[in-house]
Amino acid sequence: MSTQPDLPTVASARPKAVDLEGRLVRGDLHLELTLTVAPGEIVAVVGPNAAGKTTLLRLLAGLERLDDGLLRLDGFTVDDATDPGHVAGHDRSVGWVPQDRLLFSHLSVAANVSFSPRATARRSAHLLDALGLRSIAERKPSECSGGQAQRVAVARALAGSPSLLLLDEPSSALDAESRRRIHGLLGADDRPATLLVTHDPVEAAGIADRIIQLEAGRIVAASAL
Amino acid sequence: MSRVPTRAPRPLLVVAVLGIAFLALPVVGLLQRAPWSSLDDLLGRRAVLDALRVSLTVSVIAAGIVVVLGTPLAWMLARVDIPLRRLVRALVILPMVLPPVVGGTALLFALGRRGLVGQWLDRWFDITLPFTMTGAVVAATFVALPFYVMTVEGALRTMGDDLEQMAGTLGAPPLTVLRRITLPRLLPAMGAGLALAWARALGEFGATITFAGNLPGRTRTLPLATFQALESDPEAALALSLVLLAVSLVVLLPTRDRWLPTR
Repeated sequence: MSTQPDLPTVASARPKAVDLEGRLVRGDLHLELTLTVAPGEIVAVVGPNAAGKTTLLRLLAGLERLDDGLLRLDGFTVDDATDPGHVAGHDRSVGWVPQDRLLFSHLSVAANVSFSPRATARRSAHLLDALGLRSIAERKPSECSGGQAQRVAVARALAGSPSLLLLDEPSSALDAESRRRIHGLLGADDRPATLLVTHDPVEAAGIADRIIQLEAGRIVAASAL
Repeated sequence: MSRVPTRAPRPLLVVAVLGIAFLALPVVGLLQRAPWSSLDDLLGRRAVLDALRVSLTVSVIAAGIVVVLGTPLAWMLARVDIPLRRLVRALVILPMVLPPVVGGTALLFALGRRGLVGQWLDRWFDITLPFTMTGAVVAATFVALPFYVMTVEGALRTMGDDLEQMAGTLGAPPLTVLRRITLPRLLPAMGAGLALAWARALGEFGATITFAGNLPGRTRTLPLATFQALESDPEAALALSLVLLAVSLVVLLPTRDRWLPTR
């Protein structure tokens, strides 16, 4: 199990937030790609259904293992298909917002946001305010609107100050206010590197630094904005 | 707006009503013959109170052991890819389908003073299980465990592990995930499973009389006392049956969402 960051070749350069070159096969899906994301960069992944977008996010979140290749996050090797010592998801500094959100239904909004052991009380409080959740902090997720629930999921993912944020169709059910607040956070100076899966080219163009198009598990086009 | 109800074939209805009558009849019979006026006196008798005490002690301890043993077992069956899973599950269900007398006999040959393990318990620790209250607890635990494990395992499978995975990505170690996500969400099912297991432990007869005997004040539980009284004192048997019936109805309360849906 390798947890030592590789020494950067240029002393001032920070390691890539994501440095992936690998392959994984899940049923019909053959995901095979080379992808790097710089610290603070927002990359939108677009593509048809079953192109492997969600699987890519699950791989980065630590819920899927590579069949071949290497994945580094922040310079740490987190998955090496040649090495059985795979680092489990909870050792990664990643915030994952799945499309179905997966909020903890038995916990309040505030308890959801501060759930991560990496979250500080101050950071959680800041996110409750920044995403307009203060007034519903004691509600259960089932009492939240779709937009509110989405904001809770984003706040929970960001509370642990991850260096990589993974958003799966973040705006598919968002009202204008939720969209504005989430995009506002993603524009902040201290933002993490973000990988954003979306079917909406307008949203992708609106907030991403770079768009990659995925089809049948491969990158077929990439464009800087 | 309401849906047009399904039209029921008449013969089906007739048979269904017969089924209801068949289930209701014994309860009605019991209630109709119950010695209501002398109930106070009957239930205050020494033998009845003894049986009640033995039954409560044995069934509560057995229920506690069931939760301690059964929760990890249910979790393992639902979540861990263990070898021979089908065999393990068959083993867990076995006491449910096994005639209790056979269960008691098996316990005797395993844990009796000359049994497979019992001889060592006897020789090394001076522990004797047959014909003791501890033995009655073992018998009750044996028959009750599957009810709890099956209920909790089913709930774990229905819940899925998506939220547990999510908690893992947020940095929560496995024990934290268990304590803050899995167990709180599992509580209703654990309550339902516990109620079923406790009711089964309370009603246990065959394995208890085989393995633990029928000793007043020590292993004579309510069902054994009821059976005993039926020969000598039918009124007392009726009174004891009423107690067990009342307990059974109480047990239905926490399990009502599962078995008594409102629609």
